[in-house]
Amino acid sequence: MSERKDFLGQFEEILLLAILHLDGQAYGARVRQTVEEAMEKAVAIGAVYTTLDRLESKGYVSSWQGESTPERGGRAKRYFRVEGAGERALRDTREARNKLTPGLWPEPSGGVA
Amino acid sequence: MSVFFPHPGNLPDEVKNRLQAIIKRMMDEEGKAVPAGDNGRTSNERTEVEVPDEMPPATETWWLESSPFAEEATPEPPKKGERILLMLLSKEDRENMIGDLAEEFAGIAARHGTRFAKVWYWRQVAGSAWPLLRKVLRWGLLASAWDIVRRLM
Repeated sequence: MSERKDFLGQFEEILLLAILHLDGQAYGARVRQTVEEAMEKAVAIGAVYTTLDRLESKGYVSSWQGESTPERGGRAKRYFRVEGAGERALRDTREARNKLTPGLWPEPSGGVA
Repeated sequence: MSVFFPHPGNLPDEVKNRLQAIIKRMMDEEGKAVPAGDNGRTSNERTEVEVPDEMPPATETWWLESSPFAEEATPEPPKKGERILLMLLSKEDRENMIGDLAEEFAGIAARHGTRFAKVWYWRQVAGSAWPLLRKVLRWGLLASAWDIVRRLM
């Protein structure tokens, strides 16, 4: 029997990818902006935080308090990092999707495989 | 239709004198203390109210500068919006999320103006309310269920 696999929701997956992209600079506002740019639609900071809290409770991400700046009114930043379990969940989700996707849509003409 | 508001610098002497008299009379009636000047008078002594001769250059929009529509010099996020979020946020999330919003608000206000930033802030509050409320309700339900189980044990 293979080990238990974890799969992510769409928003969870996008958040994890955004944190990986930000490479050590992932705190709430930056994550929200990155996701908003990627999804090309408005994303609420509350949705980002509730999802990040859920991912943290599952052990997919960890967080720590960072520095504060004057424009934040002296409030600290909370940085996020993707843990090993989070990377495994990302891989599992992608593999499952890749198994089901081929052949569903025609290849775009002149596109690179 | 446009409304013309005269600039104080353009007022004729007669009007200035009348204004001076009205202000003086109001101060006499209210017994209002006059701020101490640089000539050594105490703050309780009455003084002549001076209408400065030289006023800033007159424009038709000078009165807008102190109106509620004016752009703030140091814009601050809407306090009511902040309060709504504070009610819905857990203690540990409060500082981080409000700080994130304040940081983004400052950036947006600098790029697009205070009014645009306030609209953006309120949209964030509206968009965040439901996910945060759902979290609060979920934890509330779990706590209630746990309380019932503990009583039954």
